[in-house]
Amino acid sequence: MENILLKITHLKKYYQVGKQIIKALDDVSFDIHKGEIIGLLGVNGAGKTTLSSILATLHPPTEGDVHINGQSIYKDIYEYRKIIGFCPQKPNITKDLTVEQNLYFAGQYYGMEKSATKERMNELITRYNLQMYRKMEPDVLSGGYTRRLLLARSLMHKPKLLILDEPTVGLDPNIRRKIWDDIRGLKKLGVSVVLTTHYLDEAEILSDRIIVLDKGRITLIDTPEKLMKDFKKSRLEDVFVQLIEEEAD
Amino acid sequence: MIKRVAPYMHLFGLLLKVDLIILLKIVVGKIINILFWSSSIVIVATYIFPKLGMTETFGQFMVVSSIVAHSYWGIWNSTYMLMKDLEGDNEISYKLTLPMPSWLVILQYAIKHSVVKFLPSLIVLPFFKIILGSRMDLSHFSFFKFLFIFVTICLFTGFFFICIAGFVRSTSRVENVGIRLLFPLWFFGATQHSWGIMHAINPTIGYFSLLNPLVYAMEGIHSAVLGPSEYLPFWTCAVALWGFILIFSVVGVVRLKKRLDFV
Repeated sequence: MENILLKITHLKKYYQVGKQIIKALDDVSFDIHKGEIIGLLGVNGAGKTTLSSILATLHPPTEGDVHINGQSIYKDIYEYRKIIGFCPQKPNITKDLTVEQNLYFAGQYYGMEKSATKERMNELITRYNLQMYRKMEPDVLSGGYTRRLLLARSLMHKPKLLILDEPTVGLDPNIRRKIWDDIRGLKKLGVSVVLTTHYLDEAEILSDRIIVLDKGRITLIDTPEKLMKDFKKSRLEDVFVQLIEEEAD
Repeated sequence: MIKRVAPYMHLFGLLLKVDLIILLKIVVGKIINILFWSSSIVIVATYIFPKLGMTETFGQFMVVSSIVAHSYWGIWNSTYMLMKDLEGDNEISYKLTLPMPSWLVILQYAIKHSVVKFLPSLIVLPFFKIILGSRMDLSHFSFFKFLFIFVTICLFTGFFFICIAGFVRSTSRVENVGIRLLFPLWFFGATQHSWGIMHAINPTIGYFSLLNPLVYAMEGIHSAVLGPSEYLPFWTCAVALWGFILIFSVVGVVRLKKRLDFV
């Protein structure tokens, strides 16, 4: 219990489209441990982004709850927001601010001291190789650099839980590896990571546990090693393909 | 209420500071736009229309109307930009996960609109006083009333914008709002003549137009700049506008909460 950072219980998210009710999440329960990397896998529309956005408090659940230290996050959602970092799929950075300003204000929004904000900003600009662009607006950045900026922004306030929605989409292999190293580094610092990804190699290498979602429900939850052993496969990708084929049948 | 909001005022202020930083980058362009827009209206109203039988004071009347024009017609652009954001990169989603109440983020969008339109529009009156000289009679000008009503009008347009944004479904439908709502409100909003003239010509239309918030904006600002004699009572206009601000802020937040499904 002491090692649990978040407890997700019976989470449901329903959307009404016309007269039809769409169950984006249907009774999802699991725990996130401190310093754990959880890989969220699933085909398109499985509910991965919905789950990420609920954990990031962007959307409320229809039913169910998320607990931190035995208390619902909705009791004091602003305190909870201070400990999470969210790196969404869409590059929702402020286009009219420079790279440097985007990071600076990200620190300020979370109440960091000015000197600490500048120090952290410089640290992240160096780590993500953004020095050349620091005085430029983000529209000059390539897709890869934009993702780096998003990641850097989500890390500005040193969150305890990082929610990454497809963080390495469109990145060159060397940059992907660099981000993998960073995610591993965060784990060493005790940061928990929820990693939504379509790259199964990424999930296999980084995740302590894998959650496979299908039609809003958790169909599997275990360590990558255990899943590969159970399915008698040498790669997580083969496990995932088999699962999809079984579901299709 | 104040106690509940106070802890988040620092963050709210930072969001506004960012808006100001962005405004400073584009303020010169905004001022040029306003002067081009207003000059076109004022030149025609001052030098052409009187030859067609309009009164000599029509030009100065239109100068005052054009102070509001930028803020009012900016609703169209602000709504379009918000819709574009929702359909695109969703910058608002970042703000909605910051450690502050989400409804404050919506209010920040309204105030951003107000501030961005307020500062450049301030140039209109002194600019046209210099250009028009004695044709712009400011002998009844009340600085306090002008400032008060101008701030109120900018806030009104800001909250009207979020209210409209709560109802518009997509960027492709923003034009419908502009043409079917903003346009008639403008033309029946005492922008080309006082409410008194409209009422004298057709009392039914006159009374019906009192439902139009723009009437109070226009009557209020004309009263503050040109004197109160021909317009609705100044404080009636101010109170009515604050009533509309309250209604639009509540409706805007409720509608956008439903639309964006935020916590």
